[in-house]
Amino acid sequence: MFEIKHNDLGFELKMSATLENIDLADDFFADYLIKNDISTNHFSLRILLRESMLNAVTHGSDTDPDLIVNMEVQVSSDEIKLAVKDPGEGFPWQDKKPHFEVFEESGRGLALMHMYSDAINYNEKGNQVVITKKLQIIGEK
Amino acid sequence: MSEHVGIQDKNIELNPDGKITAANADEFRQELLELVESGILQITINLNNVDMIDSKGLAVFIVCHKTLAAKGGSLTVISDNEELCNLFHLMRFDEHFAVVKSE
Repeated sequence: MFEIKHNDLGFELKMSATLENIDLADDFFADYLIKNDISTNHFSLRILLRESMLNAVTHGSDTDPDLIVNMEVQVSSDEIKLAVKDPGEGFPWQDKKPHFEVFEESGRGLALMHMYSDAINYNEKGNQVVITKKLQIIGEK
Repeated sequence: MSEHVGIQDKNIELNPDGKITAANADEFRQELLELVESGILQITINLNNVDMIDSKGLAVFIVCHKTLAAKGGSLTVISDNEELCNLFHLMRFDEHFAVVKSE
């Protein structure tokens, strides 16, 4: 499953929890950012989409293609929000620090999300993350 | 997944293309480890045709570096993509192996 619905603020994506669908979502998002002339660093936004989706697909859904991951993208005049929700038990965000060890294989995803975003918020359960990235205001120095 | 553009003695240059992400990171890791297993000690990975690397892809580079370093070899990464070079810098990879910004 891979469904996209456009709305007035952005779009909503529902997809089966597979790694291949993350690539499809990124391809769509990269194209969306260009077509809508989103005025901030596109690479940063794509990293944010990828890492939040990767957490939702692997940790939140155990890469089970029968489970569904949802993403909503909302664009306003000064920021873009990515909200990613999975059907899992939730991420213990209260206890997790965005720290990584350079020689460790895991732990970089959360660090990247903090490095490339302006704000990260979770719901209480920890199965939804909302990432905010400020946009560059045209004409602002 | 990579085009092998040259093998000399124990050196090889690889030209992967597209993305190095969770969907193909295991395949890329296997390819690199098989090269090291075959006796290659110097690996250069040219990323000029790569536009995205995620956290799973990044892990492959550190595994490759550690495996080569344990055998006395080394890894070099080349990219003309400023975003990818910055990503390697943020991950502090450039403190441990060569990350070269190409023209």
